[in-house]
Amino acid sequence: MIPEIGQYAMILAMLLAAAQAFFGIAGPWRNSPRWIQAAFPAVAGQFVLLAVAFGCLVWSFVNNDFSVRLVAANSNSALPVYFRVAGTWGNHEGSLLFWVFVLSVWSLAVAAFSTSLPRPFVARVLGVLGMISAGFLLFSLATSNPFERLQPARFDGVDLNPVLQDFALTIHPPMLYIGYVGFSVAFAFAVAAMLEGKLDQVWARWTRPWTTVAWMFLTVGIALGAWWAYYELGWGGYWAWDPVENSILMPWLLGTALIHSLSVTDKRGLFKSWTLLLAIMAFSFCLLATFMVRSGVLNSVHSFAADPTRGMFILLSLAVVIGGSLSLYIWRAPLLHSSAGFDLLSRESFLLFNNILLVVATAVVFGGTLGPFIADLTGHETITVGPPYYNSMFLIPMLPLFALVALGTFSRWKRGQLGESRRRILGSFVFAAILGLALILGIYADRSVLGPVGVVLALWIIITALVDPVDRLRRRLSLSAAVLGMTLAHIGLGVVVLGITVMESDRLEMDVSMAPEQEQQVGHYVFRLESIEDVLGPNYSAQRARVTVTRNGKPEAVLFPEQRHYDVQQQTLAEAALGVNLERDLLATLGDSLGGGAWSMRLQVRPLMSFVWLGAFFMACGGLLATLDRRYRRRREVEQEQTAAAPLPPESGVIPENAT
Amino acid sequence: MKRLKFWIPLLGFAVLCVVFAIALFRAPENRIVKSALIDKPMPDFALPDLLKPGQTVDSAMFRGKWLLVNVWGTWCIECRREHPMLLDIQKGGKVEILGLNYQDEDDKARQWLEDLGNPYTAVGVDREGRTGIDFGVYGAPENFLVNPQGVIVHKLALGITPEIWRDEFLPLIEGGGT
Amino acid sequence: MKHRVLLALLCMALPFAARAIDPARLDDPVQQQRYEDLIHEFRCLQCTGENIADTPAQFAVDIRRQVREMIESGSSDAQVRQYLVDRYGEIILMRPRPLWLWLIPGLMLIVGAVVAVRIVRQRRALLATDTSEPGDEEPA
Repeated sequence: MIPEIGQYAMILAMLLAAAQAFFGIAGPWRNSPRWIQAAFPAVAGQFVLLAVAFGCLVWSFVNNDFSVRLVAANSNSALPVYFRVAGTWGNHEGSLLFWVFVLSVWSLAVAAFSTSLPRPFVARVLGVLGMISAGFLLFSLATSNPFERLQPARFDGVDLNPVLQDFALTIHPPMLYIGYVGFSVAFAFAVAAMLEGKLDQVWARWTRPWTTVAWMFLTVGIALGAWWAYYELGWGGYWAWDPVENSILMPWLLGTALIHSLSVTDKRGLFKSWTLLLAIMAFSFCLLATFMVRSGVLNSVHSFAADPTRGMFILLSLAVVIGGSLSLYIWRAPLLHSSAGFDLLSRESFLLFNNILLVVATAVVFGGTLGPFIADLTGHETITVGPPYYNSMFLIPMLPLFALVALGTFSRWKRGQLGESRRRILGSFVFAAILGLALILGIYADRSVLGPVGVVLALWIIITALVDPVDRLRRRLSLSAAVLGMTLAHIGLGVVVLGITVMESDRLEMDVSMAPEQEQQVGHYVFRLESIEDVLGPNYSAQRARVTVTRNGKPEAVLFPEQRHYDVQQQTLAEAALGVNLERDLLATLGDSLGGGAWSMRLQVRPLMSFVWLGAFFMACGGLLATLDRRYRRRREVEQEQTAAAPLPPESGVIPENAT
Repeated sequence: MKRLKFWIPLLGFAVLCVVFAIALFRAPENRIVKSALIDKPMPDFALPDLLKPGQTVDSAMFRGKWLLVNVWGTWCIECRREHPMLLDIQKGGKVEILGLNYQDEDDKARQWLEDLGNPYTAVGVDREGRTGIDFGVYGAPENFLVNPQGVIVHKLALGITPEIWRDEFLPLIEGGGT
Repeated sequence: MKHRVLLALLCMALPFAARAIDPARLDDPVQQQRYEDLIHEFRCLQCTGENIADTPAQFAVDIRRQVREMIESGSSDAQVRQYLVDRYGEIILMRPRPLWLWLIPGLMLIVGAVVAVRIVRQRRALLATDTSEPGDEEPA
């Protein structure tokens, strides 16, 4: 019964989405207030229906309804409840329904929080979101129905893949999806502007908070994914540059560029057509990521399905959405231009360089991911692109970018005036250099080239980010949330770079054979295997080792790595154990029993690993803080009156009078 | 003329779509590693004979005839599926089939041949996979076609199907390929 | 064929981290270091994008053993690489072989720089006639 309700709810939601799309687009076009108005309840209705549909799926999982094929394929009665819930999005069909549900939440938010924007514009935005929703629902119902029944029903399910039975992986997909889907809002804003034939600074201001929030979720989602890979897979690796990881990195890079480009369009009315293109591309890459994961074209850990018909459907929808928006772009973008100017070392310049470098970085990742694949298709000799390529090539645009982040904090809008800050620039660099070299050469004794470069740049970013806010505080001036957010986010970046640089240069890893009561020295630390015992979990049995770690005789951590055997799926999985503090991570992974009481083990020491997660957290918080700035919540009566009249021709950066 | 630059994104995307569309319809094949051993002499080997304990199977035994080297193991599901085809090929008489029992257990392998039939002229035991490395093997089933002069002319990193046999192997054998 | 996909998926989806751990070591620390460096250079052909150092797949285990034995018996790094390339082709090397691949990011940077220069020049020229001011002096 419940699955059927879910099914009907999905069908109704799809129809409602189509209505939302129709009224949202046709209403403003026909200048009909009634039609425009009709789009709004459609949004609310869609949200309710999809909440019901998703709720039915969750109910089916939690209540072990194995007559639903999806539940039978991904769950089990012995599976703990919270993993049953997570199982709903741990597969292709369920995650698709979840995607559309998240879209309905974003759409509702747009409808609710845009009261100070002109109605026709919001209607268009909702119309675009409705089209996307209808498309996804159609795809889901046609090829990937989550409520498909199993005849005859199974007695019990085959259980969730043990690799997925983990906390980080229960929230990594939702965070990621909220981010992906969030970029559809920026996309919808862009398309709405193109439909209206008008894109100005006011538009940029409206778009900024939505984009920043989506970016924030994407940042969290990616960080969670890397964190999961780090401790779950047990080898300490957190980024393998595999096609799926790359496919979520690319929208993130473009999204970062978009945030910065929107800032310039907001302040000076510049880069309008470029911002438009970025908004389209960021979302397009989100859709592309969907394609890469689900069609089996490129295989990786995450590939849910290897099915050409699904792939064809996705490709077609991609062509419609992206091809359509890019065609609109060709039509409308040439009309957008501005006659504003800026100097060589102005903030606009730095943000221009920022965008170029981020796009180059995206292109490097894109080329590396698709290159081998295209070479294969065209019969060229096989190209192989792996981590060695990415790890060095990615730095080519990124290292200059890091330097520019530090330098750019001193720049002003329009005229730059960097010369005024010459002493502060030099001072901050020297300070960063001394601190950095002391750190990397003194404490970590690292003699590589990249180590010191990375550390000095990271410290410089952090120091320069603090210069302005600290100065303002000292002069008892107020700090807006936007500036605080930016500061925090840039500090976060510095912290991440610091963490990655030190950790990669100075980590230690050893595979050893150990028996109880044996010790192994790894760097400054001594790992001692105390004992191995048998334990039982909710749906697994395991061997658990007790490993104590000391440094100079003082206890540092006690680790319990396990080798788990999951009964239902008949899989064995090693659970690494971590001892985490700010200074370093200690890892122990249990391997095979080697006979005679000895076990193979991998021991690792990773300095400053926590900085990577901490930095990502700062970046996300910074984004959130920036969104909360009061400027986005100021009522804009002037704009409302302006746009109630007929749309004006696109114009250069002339600012309405009481803008802030 | 300036308007042309706005067309670049759409055109770039169109090219990408074409690439993906082609890829979708070739998806199953594009993971095959092209063999580095084509047109090179078959590697020398001397392996214990599975069916005649105490005797060896060596590479010199098959000179002068067309040879199909089939890499298999009882642990390999695809090999089971391929097995009837191998029996057909043996009956066809065009090639001798040499089995390379890869990383397997002797008893299980013998039982398998007893149960399913034996298409092999001889079976060499590659317990640790070292001979496999010489052949550039990275899984099972794999098949190598060797001409009477002892040169590898074709490699298939899949199980042989009637279509593949007809379209890829037979033309080489009957064409007297070198 | 399905076997191969299954194996690849298995390899990825079930990290038998246990068997990736390889406590066998070479006695000579120099040789051990060479071994550890070398095994990161070779691709696991049963997997996607993994090197043979980090994966438990049987293929990786076999090749690691091969590398270890060759080092022990005195082969140089180049000889080990050549041995494997002769049998498996260039694809077994993780480093992308076509040299031009490594030049692409640098080239893109140059193109980016050219674009940047053009835009900055254009905008600097407009400074003289530009009367607009930033919406506010806030840096963000």
